[in-house]
Amino acid sequence: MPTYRKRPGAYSYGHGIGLLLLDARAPFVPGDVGNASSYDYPVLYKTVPGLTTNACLGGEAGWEDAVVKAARGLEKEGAKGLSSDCGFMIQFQEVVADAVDIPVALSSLLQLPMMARCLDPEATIGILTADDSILTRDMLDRFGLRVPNPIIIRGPQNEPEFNEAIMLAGPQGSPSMTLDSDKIREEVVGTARAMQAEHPEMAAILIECSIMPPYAKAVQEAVDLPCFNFIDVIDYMHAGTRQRAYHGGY
Amino acid sequence: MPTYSTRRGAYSYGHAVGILLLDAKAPFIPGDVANATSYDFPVIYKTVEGLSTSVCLNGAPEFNEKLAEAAKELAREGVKGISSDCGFMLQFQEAVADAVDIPVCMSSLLQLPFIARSLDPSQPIGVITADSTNLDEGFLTRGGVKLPPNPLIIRGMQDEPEFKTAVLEEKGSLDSDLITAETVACAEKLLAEYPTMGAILLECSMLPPYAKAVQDAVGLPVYDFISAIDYLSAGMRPRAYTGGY
Repeated sequence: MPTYRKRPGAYSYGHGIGLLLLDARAPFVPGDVGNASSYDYPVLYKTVPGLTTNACLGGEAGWEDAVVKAARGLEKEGAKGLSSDCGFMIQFQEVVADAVDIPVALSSLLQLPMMARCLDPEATIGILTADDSILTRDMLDRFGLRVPNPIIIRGPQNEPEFNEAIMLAGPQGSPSMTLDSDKIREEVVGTARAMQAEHPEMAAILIECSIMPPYAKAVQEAVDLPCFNFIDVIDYMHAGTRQRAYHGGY
Repeated sequence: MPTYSTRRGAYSYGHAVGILLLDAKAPFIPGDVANATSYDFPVIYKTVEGLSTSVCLNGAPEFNEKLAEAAKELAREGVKGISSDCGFMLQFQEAVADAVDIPVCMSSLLQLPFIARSLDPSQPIGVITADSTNLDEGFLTRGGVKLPPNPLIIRGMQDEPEFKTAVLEEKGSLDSDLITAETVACAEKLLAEYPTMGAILLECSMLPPYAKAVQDAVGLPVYDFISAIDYLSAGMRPRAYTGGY
């Protein structure tokens, strides 16, 4: 491919995936969707100004235009696919997919049907979400994620460190401006263990929240089940948009 | 390191090197400093509005403050070091290094003293630059690069048709096969004229994609802008060694 054309609207090149960010200033630790070192390929971030965690989780109306504008900006920069740093961005999946010509997977929840197909239809799937008072089975159905499997949904929204560091983080940060990843690991693992204690038949866990991939390994070690997280969706989309060459022997 | 603090001014995290970009309209292909796939670590870019290629190459002290501000913003985003996508940004090295508390390597030309020390002092060093009419020993000295005892042979790409129209005139497309041929020819000519040449430094941020072709053609050590940025990154992110013994 020797001849390259200038892309109108691009300032730099080579970004694999464009990621829309909530306007929330929590520390994004290694493994977080909002941390560039979590990927084996370059990603490009764009914040949706004003779209706070509360606004997104609460399904506040009127954000479509701002989200679409940011998505188009990332497309102009040459991103090969789009995702986001909040599973609840599922609410913008249709409008963004309509607005751009590249593949869009705004939410970790989009892998639910695929997970379901990998399991028995009667196998219970656990969803670890940021806030289980908001995410409901009804919501999943509404967003086109209807599966036959029993679903249980739990979140650490009331655990002290998760609540303080993540749920209360706004555009200016959280009250403490810190995140203790040891404590959050305990809280997230504790939530997963409680799910398993309540539902010993649980067969797999979908980790919805973009803050939680750093703890996915600890969760898996604790419950000994397949666990899928937000990074898995982004890696999957990247794999499809940039195929590898294979150089092995034979 | 279990406790992390929110960095004021940061929107995302994990970026190793922040790269200040010229306000330029050329395609930045794989291997270019302004192409994110050129690195094994995450980089973040920031364009300096109004600083065009020609303005930068001709010298633009009036941009000192704007560069310093852009560098501070990158530092707030948490980058561990700062570089740029133009070797002529050497002129902003002091202004930027003064403005931030992290290491700054604005130019590929900063490698010259190190390259020289690795060679015999009598061996010429070839420098292939975007524009040899603007790069001379005075420019290097003003930029704080101590001239080595080695002869510096500076050659420019400004009259090569594809390089000129794609990079300097920003026609909107770039034929990398043609620029490969132009860059390799320039290097071969340098070696023919100076057979004892010890190494080649590619100044221009758009030439690293052709560094391998140059090295294959002349069989000499070739350093480029990416080697400077990789070096900067290596110092800030030491690896853990997990091999056997």
